[in-house]
Amino acid sequence: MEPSDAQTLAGARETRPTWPAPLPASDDTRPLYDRIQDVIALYPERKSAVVPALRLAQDEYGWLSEQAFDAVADATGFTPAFCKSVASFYDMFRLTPTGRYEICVCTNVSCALVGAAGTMRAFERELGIHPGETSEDGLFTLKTVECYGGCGWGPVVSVNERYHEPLPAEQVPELVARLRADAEPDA
Amino acid sequence: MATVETDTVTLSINDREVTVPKGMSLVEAAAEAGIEVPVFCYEPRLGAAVGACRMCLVEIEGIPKLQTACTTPVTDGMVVHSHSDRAREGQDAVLEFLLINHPLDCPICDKGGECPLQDLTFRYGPGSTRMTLPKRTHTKPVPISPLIKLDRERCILCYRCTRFSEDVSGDLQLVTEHRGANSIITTFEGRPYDGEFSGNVTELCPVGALTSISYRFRGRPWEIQNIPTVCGECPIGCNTYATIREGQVARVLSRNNPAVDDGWLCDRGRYTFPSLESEQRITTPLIRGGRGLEPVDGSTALDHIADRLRAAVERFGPGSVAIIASGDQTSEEAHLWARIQEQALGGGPIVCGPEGGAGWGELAAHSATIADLDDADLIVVAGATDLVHRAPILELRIRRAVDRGARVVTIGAGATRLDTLHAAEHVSAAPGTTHAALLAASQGVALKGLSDRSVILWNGRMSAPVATVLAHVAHASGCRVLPTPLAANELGCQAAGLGTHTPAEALEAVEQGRVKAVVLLGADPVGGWPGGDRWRGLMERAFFALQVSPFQTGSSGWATTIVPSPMPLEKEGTMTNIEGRVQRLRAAVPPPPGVLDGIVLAAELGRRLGLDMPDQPPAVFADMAGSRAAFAGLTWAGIGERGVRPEPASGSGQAPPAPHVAEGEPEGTIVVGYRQLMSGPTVEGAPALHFQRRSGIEISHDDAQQIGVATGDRVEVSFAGASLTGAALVQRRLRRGVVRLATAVPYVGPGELRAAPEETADA
Amino acid sequence: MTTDLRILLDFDGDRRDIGDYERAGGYRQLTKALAGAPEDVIAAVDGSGIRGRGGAGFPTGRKASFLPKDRKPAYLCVNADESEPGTFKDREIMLRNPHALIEGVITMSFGIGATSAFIYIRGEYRAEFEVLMTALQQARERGFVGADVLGSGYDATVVLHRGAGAYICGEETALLSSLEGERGQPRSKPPFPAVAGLYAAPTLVNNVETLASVPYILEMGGAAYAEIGTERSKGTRVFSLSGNVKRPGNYELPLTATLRELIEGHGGGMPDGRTMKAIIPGGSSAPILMPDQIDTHIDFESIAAAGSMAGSGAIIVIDDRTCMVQLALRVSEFYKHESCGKCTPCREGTRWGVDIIRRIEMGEARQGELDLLLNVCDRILGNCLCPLGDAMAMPVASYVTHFRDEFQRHIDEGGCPFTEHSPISGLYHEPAAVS
Ligand SMILES: Cc1cc2nc3c(=O)[nH]c(=O)nc-3n(C[C@H](O)[C@H](O)[C@H](O)COP(=O)(O)O)c2cc1C
Ligand code: SF4
Ligand code: FES
Repeated sequence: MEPSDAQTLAGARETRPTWPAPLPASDDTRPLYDRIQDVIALYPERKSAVVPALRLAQDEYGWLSEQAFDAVADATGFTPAFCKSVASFYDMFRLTPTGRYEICVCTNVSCALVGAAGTMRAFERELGIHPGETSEDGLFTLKTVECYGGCGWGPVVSVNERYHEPLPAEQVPELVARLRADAEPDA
Repeated sequence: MATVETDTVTLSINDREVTVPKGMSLVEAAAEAGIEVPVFCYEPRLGAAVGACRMCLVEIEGIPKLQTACTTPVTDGMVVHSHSDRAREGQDAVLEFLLINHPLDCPICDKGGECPLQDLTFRYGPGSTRMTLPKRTHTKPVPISPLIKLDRERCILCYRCTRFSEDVSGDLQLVTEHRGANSIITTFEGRPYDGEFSGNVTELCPVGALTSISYRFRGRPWEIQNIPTVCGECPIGCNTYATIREGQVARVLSRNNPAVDDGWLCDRGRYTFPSLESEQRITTPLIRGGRGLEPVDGSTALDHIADRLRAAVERFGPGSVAIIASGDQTSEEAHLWARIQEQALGGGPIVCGPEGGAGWGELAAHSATIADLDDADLIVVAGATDLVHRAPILELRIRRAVDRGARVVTIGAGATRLDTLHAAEHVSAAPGTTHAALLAASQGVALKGLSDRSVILWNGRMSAPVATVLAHVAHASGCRVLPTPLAANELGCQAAGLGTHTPAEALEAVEQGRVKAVVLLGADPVGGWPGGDRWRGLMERAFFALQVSPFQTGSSGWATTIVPSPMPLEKEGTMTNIEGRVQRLRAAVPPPPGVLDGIVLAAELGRRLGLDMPDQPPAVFADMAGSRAAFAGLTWAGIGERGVRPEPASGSGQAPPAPHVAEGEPEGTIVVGYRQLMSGPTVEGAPALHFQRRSGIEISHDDAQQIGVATGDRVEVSFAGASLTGAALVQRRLRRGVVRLATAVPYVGPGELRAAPEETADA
Repeated sequence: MTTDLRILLDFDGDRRDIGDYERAGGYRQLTKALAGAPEDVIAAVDGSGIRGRGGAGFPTGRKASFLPKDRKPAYLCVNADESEPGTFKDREIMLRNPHALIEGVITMSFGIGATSAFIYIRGEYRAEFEVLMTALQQARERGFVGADVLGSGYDATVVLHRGAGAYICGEETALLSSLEGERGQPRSKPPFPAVAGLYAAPTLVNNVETLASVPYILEMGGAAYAEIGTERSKGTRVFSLSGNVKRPGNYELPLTATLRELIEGHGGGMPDGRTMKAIIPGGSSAPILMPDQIDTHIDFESIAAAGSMAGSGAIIVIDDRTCMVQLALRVSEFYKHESCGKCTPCREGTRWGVDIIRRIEMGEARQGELDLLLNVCDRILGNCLCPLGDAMAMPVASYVTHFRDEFQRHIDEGGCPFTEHSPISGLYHEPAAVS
C-alpha cells in the first residue's frame, strides 16, 4: 500500500541524516585540575560538575582508576567515594582499564531484530574475545550496550563513541582490519 | 482555637478520624491516630522522606495507585486505609521482594530480636516462600572500618546509611556503588569509613547489615539492660544508653534528646567505652615511698592525704594548696572539692582546665541553646579549627540548619568542613585575632543581618578579651552566643565553685611561692597543658602532689600520691553542658574494685579535714543547690531524663565595655596546635578508634608552593621551642601563613615552617 | 488537511548552519516573542494543544503554567536523553534541525522567565552533542543566546550537559538528580519540578521534539497548529519506525494517521514476504498490539483505547519468526539493567522477572511459573517510585497474555521451539566461537 495523498506530507519520508565530521580534539593542555575549575564555573552548584569532571578524568587516565577518582575529588571538593558512587551509576564510565578501541554493540530489541547477534558474534570471532573482555594486545575491548538510539539504522555499533550504523556482520572483518591498521604505527 | 484551625486538616485513617497539622505526612498522621504504618527507609532525622523502600504503601480513596504514606502529605478529607486488602497486598509484595534476597540467619544475627524486618515479616509477611531465584551472595561481613562491619547479604538497600553519610554528617564516605540489583553499600576502594559520626549508621540500619564490631555476637537483646545516662566525653553531653551485659558495658547507644543530640552520637562517645578496661587505668591508690609508688588501701590513702593537706596548710599557711582540675568531674564532685578548698584549706587557687574559665560569667546572659541553631537564620562559627574537635555533634545541627536555609559565616583560618557547606561564607582571620575579626565583621557588611535570630558559636579558647567582644556583639545585635568549653563539665565545675583562677594566675601564685602543694583532679598539666614545664616545676618542688585520675598520665611521674577515680560510665551525678543544661549521669557499671566513688572520696576526705559533707549524690546535689547560685532552685528529682536548663541570670542590661582589640595582623607563620577529637586517655584506651586520628601538618597552598612541597612531602615545624617533622597536607582553602596540626598541648602562636631536610626525611 | 505545513523535518539535508536556518525563516519567532510579553508565548503554546513528545503526553502549555511566576531562579531543562528502546527521533531533530531546538529553548525560557536553560543530552549522542555545541556557538555569535538577547534585556544562558549512560535519566526527576551531580535516581513527587526542581527551584522539563516544535507553533499560531490532528492529540509527531520493516526511519505525521499508513505506507511493510506478529506502538515499555489492530490511529487516545500507550512514538514491528519469550527476555533484561535500584519493587522485581523468563526460555521453568511471572509483574505494577518498573511489567504481561501458548510451549517442551528462526536467538543460544 502506498501512502494516500493526504498523508504525503513533505516530512513523511525517510530522512536519514548525514553525520557531521567530528569536532577536533580539544587543544587545552592545562592540568586536569584547572580544566575542571572551568567546568565548575558553568553551574550554579559545584556538584553538577562531577559528571563532566569524571569524563575529563577518564579521557586523561584512559579509565577511572583510584588515582583518577582522587584527582576528581581534589578538583571538585567531593570525596572519592562520592565520585565513584556517581561514576558507577553510569554505563559510560569505565571502572577497569579498557583497550585502545572500545567497541560497543547495541543488542537492544530493534537492533536484535535486524541482526545485532550476528554482528556481536562476528566481533567475537574477529577479536577472539567475549563481551566484557579486552584483547591481549590491549587494542580492543568489546561490550554489549543497550539501545543507542539508532534503531532505524541497526545494527548499531560504536567505536570510541563514534557510531557506525548499520554495521551488519559482513562488514565487521573489514572494520576490524581497518582499526588494526590504524593502530599499526604506534603498536 | 479558631486561628489554629486553618493550619490543621482532618482526615480518616482506617476509619479513625484525626486532626493534624497541615503538611504532616501520612505516616506521622497515622501515628497520631495510634496506627502504625510499616516503614524501612522513613526516618525523619535523615531529612525529607524519599519513598524508596515502598513498605508504607497505603490505599487512599480516589487515587488508583497505592501511595507511600511517608511521602504523602495529608489533605483535608482524605480517606486512607493501611489495613485494607489492597494496602496489605502492596505491603506484602514489598516484603516479599525484600526477602527474596535476605538470608535466613536471624538466629545468629546481632539484630535478632530488635530487627524491624524480622518483626514486619512476622506481622505482615507471606507465610511461605515462592522464591525461585538464587539469593544474591556477597562475602560475609566485611569490615568497612575497624569499628563497623557490613553484611551485604542482609542489606535491604533502604539507603538510610548512605543518606546519613551524605545528608546528615556530610562525610560522603559510605555510598552506593553501581545501580539496580547490583547496587551495593560501600566505602571507596576498601578505605575505612573514616568519619567522626560513623557509628550512627549501625543504629540507623534497620537490619543486621551494619553492626558495631565491638558488639558483634556480644549480646542477645533479651540478655541485656540499657541504662540511660549521658556521655562524658565532651561538653555537649549527648544522651545515651549504656547496654550492660554480664556486668560490663557492651555498647553505647543514643537516647534521642531532640534538644541536645537529635539521637546522634559521635564515635568518641560511642566507642571509647572499652577504655573502662584500659591497661592505663589506675586501680589502686599509690603512695610514693622509698621504692617508688607503692599500693595502699583506700582508707590508708585517705588518711595520708588528709594528713599531708593539713600539714601543708599548717606549714605554709591557708591558701597554699592549689587544685588543678580537668573539668571532667561531676558537678557534685566539683562542689565537694571546692568546699574542701574553701572551707578546709584556706581558699588557694582552683583552676578548671587549661583554658581556665575567664569570661564565662559575662556571657551567661547572652547564652544560646543548642536548639536555637534550628531557628537561627544566621550562624557564625568563629575559630581556627574544625568545630568537630570541641563540640562534635553541633556540626550536624549546623548542616541541618543550612539545609533548612540558614546562612553560615565562618570566621577563621579556613579549610574547615563547615567552610565547604553550600551556603557558607567565609571571613579569613589570622589565628589569635579571630575575635577581632568577629568584631570587625559585626560592624561591617560580612555579618550584616546579625540579629536576635542569629547564633555565634565561639569555637576556641575563652579569654577575657574574647568574652568582651562576644558580650559586646551580643548586646549590640541581640544575637545569642554559644562558646565551646573544652572539658565535658567545665561549666558545671565552674558553677560548683571549681575554677576560680586561670592557669596563669595559679602559676603566678606558685612562682611567687604562695603555693606549695597541689591536687590534680583528672588534669594532666605536665603532659597536656601549655607551660607544661612550669607545671612540672611546681610538682617537682611541691611539698605534696596528689593526682586523682582514672588514668596514668604525663603528670603521674611527679605525683607523690595517686588515687584512682571512676570514669563517667561509673558515676552518679550531674554535668552541665555547653548550653547550661544540667543532666544526670547514671552509673552503668560499678568502678573497678579498689576505685573509690568520686563523691565518696571527696566526702571522706572532707570529713577527715573536719567538714560535714554528704556522700550520696542526691544529698550532695541538694547541698550544692543550697549554696551555689547557678544551681539554686534545682532538685535532684527535677532533673528528669532530659535534664533541665535553668534560665541564665539576665544581665544588667547595661552595655558591656567597648572592647579594645589590637589592630593589625601578626606577621610570619602562625602555628595552630589543637587537641583533636580523637585524643586523650579514653581514646588511648580504645584502639579501634585510632584510625580516625588526624595526622599530617596542614599548610596552605601558597606556603606549599613557596617552600616547594606537595601533600605527602615531609615538612618541619618549629614552635614553642620544639620542632616536629611530619607529612604535609596541602589545604587549598587554608589561610596563607597558617600551619595547623593536632598536638597534645594546644598552642596558637608564632612558628616556622620549612621543607624537612633530606637526612630527616625518614624520621 | 494542508500539505504545505512547515514542520520540524520538512526539508532535505540539514540546517545545521545557522544561515540555512535563518534563510528558512529561523529565529524570527524568537525575535517576535522577545518584543512581546512572556505570557504570549505560553498562551500560544497552550492554544496549540501540543502534548509533550517525551512519553507522558502531558499538555505542554498547562505544564508551563504550573511554574510560580516571579520565583527566581527558575530553570528550563531540555530532555535530550532519548533512551527508550526504539526511539531515535530527537536525535534526528538535533542533527538536522538543531537551531529549531535552540530557538524553541530560548523562546520557552523567556516565556517562563527561566534564568538558565540546561540541555541534558544522553552521553552516547556524541555527534549530536557536537552539532549542538557548534549551533549554540553560532547562535551566541548572532546574539540569540547569551546576555541581553537581541537587546531585549533578557539573558539566555544555555548549558549543554552530557549524560553518561543511564536510561533512567530520561525520567524527569532522575534527570534533575543527574544534572545536580547525583546518581540519576528519580525523586518522589510531590514536590513536582514546577515547584521544586533543579536545585530546588521551579523547573520546567520538556522533550526535544516538544521544544523544537515551539517556533513552528508560533509561526503558525497556536490555533492553526491545533487544526492539525485530532480532538485531543494535536499537531504532527515524529514517529521512529524500526524492527522488521522495509524502510525503517523517522516519519513526521499528523496525529490523524494510522499505524497501517506508517508501517505499510511509509515503512513499506514487512520485508521478504514475512508476516507481522505484533507491534510495539510506543517504545519497548508499551504493551504490544496485535496485527489485527494495525488500523489503530496513532494519536494518544486511540493507542490507549487499543490497550497500549503512545509513549515516545517509537513503533517497532515484530515479524513472525520472533520468539516472544526471547523478546520478553530482551525487554525485561533492559529494564533490569536500567533499574536505578532506589525502590524495592523495581530493583528486586525486575531481577526476579528476568530470572523466571530466562528459565522459561532455557527450558528450566516449572509448571506454574508463568503465573508466578504474571504475579511478579502485577506486584511491581503501580508500586514503584517511578514508571520504570511498570515499563518492564506492562509489556511482559502483555506478551504473556497475547502469546500464552507460546510461553507454555517452552515450559512443556523444556526449551525454546524457535531457536532456529528467531532473529533474537543468537543473543541467547548460539555458542560463541572464539578462538
Ligand atoms: C523511565 C522513563 C524514561 C523516560 N525517558 C525519556 C526520554 O528519554 N526522553 C524524554 O523526553 N522523556 C522521557 N521520559 C518522560 C519524562 O519523564 C518527561 O515526562 C518528559 O521529559 C517531559 O517532556 P514533555 O512534556 O515535553 O514530553 C521518560 C519517563 C520515564 C518514566
Ligand atoms: S546497610 Fe542497612 S542502612 Fe544501609 S542500605 Fe543496607 S539495610 Fe539500609
Ligand atoms: S517508609 Fe515509605 S517508602 Fe520507605
